[in-house]
Amino acid sequence: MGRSLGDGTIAVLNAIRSRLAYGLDIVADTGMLPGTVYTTLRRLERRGWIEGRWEDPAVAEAERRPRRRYYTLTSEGREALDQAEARLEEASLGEAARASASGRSG
Amino acid sequence: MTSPSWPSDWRTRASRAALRAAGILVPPWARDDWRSEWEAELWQLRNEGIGGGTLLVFLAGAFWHGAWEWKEGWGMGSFSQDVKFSLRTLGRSPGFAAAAVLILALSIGASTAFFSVIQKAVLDEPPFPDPDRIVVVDMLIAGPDTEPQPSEWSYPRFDALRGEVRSIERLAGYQLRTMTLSEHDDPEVVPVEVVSPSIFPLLGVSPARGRVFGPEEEDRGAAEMVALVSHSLWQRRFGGADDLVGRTLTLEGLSVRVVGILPPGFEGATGRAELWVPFASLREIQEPSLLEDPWNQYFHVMGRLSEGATVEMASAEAQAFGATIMDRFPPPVAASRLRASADVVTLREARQNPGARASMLALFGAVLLFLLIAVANLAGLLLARGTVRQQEAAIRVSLGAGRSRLLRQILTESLVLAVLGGALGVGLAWLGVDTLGGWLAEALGTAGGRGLEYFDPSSVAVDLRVLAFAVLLTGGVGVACGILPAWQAARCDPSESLKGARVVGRGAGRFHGFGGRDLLIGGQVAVALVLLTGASLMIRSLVNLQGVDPGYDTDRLLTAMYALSPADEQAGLEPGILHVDVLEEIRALPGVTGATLGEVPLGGPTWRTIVMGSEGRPELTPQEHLWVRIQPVADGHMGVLGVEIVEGRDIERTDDWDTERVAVLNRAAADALFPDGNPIGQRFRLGWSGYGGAGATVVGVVEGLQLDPPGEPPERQVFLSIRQAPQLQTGLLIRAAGDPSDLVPTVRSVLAELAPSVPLTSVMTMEARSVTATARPRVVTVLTTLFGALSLLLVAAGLYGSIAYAVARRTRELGLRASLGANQLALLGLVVGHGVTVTAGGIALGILGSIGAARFVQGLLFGVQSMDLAALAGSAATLVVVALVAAYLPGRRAMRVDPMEALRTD
Repeated sequence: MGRSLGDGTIAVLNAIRSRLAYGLDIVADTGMLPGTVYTTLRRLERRGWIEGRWEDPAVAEAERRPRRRYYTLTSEGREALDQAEARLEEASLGEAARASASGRSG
Repeated sequence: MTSPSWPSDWRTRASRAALRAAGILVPPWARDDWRSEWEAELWQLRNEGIGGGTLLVFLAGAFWHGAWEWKEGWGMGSFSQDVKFSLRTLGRSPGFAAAAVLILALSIGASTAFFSVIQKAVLDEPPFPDPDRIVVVDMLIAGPDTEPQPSEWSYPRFDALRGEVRSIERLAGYQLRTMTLSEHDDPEVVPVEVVSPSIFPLLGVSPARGRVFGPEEEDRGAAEMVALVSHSLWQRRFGGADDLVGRTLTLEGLSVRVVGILPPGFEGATGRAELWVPFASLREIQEPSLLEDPWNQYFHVMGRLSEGATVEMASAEAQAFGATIMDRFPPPVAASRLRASADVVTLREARQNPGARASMLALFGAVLLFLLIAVANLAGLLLARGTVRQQEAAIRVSLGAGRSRLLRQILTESLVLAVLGGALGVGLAWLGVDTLGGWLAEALGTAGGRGLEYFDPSSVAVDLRVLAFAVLLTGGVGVACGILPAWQAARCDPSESLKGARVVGRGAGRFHGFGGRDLLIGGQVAVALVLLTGASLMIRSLVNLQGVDPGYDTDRLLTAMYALSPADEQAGLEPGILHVDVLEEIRALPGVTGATLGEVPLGGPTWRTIVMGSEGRPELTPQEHLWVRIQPVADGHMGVLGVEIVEGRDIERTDDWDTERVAVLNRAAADALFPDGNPIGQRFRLGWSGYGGAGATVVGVVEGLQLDPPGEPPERQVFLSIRQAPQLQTGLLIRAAGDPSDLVPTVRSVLAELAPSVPLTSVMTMEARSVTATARPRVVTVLTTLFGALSLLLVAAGLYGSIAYAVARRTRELGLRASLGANQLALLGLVVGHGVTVTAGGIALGILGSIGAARFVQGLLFGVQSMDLAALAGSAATLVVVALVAAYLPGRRAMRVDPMEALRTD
């Protein structure tokens, strides 16, 4: 069992799961600072949870812009995100349970 | 393969340069990918037109990511080793480290603090949703010999505009004026916006309580007068009372009902209002004709671009409309030489005062130049250290240390210094930003010509954008300072370096030919020359401004203004009688040596009109009409103010309502009206409603007063007797025996007694007014001089260090020369000559730079040209003297080199 993931990491993974995204998309979706997003991307890439792919040069050339690097979730990454979300859910359920318990006692 | 099409603006170019600098941090094997990815993102941002804070945060992110890649790529161990090693070496020369960190802290701190002010005052967006779609429609008026100037709209013309322009919707008029709130005998002057109801949806604001004005309330007016109150006025004056909506207030002596309260922070289109009334209210408050007279121009107009419309489309429509104005609304004879047109500018542009903006940017430019000098200075210091340590480096390389490791080590040292300096600098900025913001706000005031003011000095703070700027600056400075020393180290040949312990490093400390350090020094001299020239231009301009003779005695003069409302007049307060009563009571006060009524210099109230005819030429053709500035004044006006009477007499007590109307002209007016001379006794006619078109006889000619800030051109002035031409508003000018501020309470009580509903406003000593009027040039001068002096200090230290170092390195060569018969003077000449040559090269470059910079400061100068030889020559001479001294000190040491001693050491 890996250590629990930070909010930022989960947000980045979620952004990548929801669409084929390049850096700016992820910055926009997560609202995180660019510096944090790109270092997170690199870390996740090295961990093998996401995969960065350079887009087809023809597409970029047609739009006369530099090539973008798009990110997708690997199966490992998908699994890690699912686990992390499950843990989060458990934790919040637990909290709710505790809250209702203390509500009864009080 | 077509290359990407990059926008060619400076923001994009600067951003790409920043990315390249940040990329230096990334290990070579990861660099290409890193660069491609960031460039693709930058391309996207710039093509979406994104700049400002978002771009800064983005670029700071690139530096952050670059540093992270460095740490990851080379391994944390190697990274922290490098940092520790740097800290240790810096610790071994604490003097160097402290000087370097201090220089960086000062320059990064100053740049950051300035940036935080500039981003609020110049870069920040107006506080409305989708502000780029809001435009101001200017009425442009051109005189017979003047360029079109943005002017105000009249209601009928605005109404016509609204009916025809399709590319702008929700057109709304706005005017900021002051009105008196006076329930419970507690009169307070509040800033009021007179508006079209559509201004609220236009600015995207909904009421916090109650409602805003309905369209029907704009011009027809309902059964009762209505008003909206700002959140701050509600809290301040009405204590947040729950029942304010629906309550009736007394505004300008009339009853108005509060129908709504606006949300906190909303201060209207102008950014200063506390109360709003619809245009219809002006019928009651001022006069009914304000909504019918097409030539009574008094307000500005803004609107929101319609769906799909562009500024260009709106501009074309406005121009087309503007071309028809003169035909649709034929001017009265008085204004027939004017040409009217209309055009559109964005709100962002409309709200800036070009003068304040230019001053602010010139100052920011000065700070950045100073930063440039600091960087070059530090690079020079690091380069020198690099040369000293070349032997150590050579040993490390020959023992197998990789060259890249060496490079990283040097870059780390520079970055460590930059980070320390940057952190200290941000701290300094954080401490100083409040003071700086308040100070600059007072001096630079950002309001544009259309009464729009959103800059709030208390909002200036070190926020995320400012931090991003500081990170970017720190990263850039770190890379820039380290790149040259690193390159030098990379070139180092271990076998060469190890051969001769004393003669190492080609290009290090030579007297013939030029090396990297000389280039750095020359560059600093060049930039310092630009700064010094700018500073001396500012100083000369300020001296000129302060040397302007105001034409009157400003000493111990208290000034104030008051204005009656039409309601006061209807209630029986006769302005003509009140003014004279107030004056007589004030003249009788102890401590008052003289008092008069009239226009307060640098304050107002100001009236201008035209002269329609004169003796012998009863009906001037419209082409001959002359604009004059008029003011009704009390008897003895010139005597009280100390204005020199050239001919004839002052306005006197006997110039009363039942005697012949008289006027005193200033020389400019006399020359223009009566070019044949001898104006005394001649008559002329004014086209001024306050004078009923009647004629006046000239009884005196004076030199005139400087009524506007120095630097503004003098106007033709006409003084009338206030007993013959009373206005609702007047200025009070009181000469005190002692400190004029001591008179304030008694003067207030005089007016409070005679007219309880009329508040005394703008109470200030004349001295304080003059100080405020020249605040902007003074602040700009003080700051540019400060940065000029600091840069001179840096250049002197850099030059001294460089030459002293060269002398130390070349002791053997100098000794050899001495032993071969070179006399001491020749040695001194060799050393000093080198310093002077480097300086001269820098000065030549600096002159080019000053020529380039001239156009940025021209608008800020008074009485001096931006290409001023004296300023250039003076600054160059200063630099040469500094260079001579800085070179002479080490040169003396060169003279004293003992050949035997020098040759023995090795």
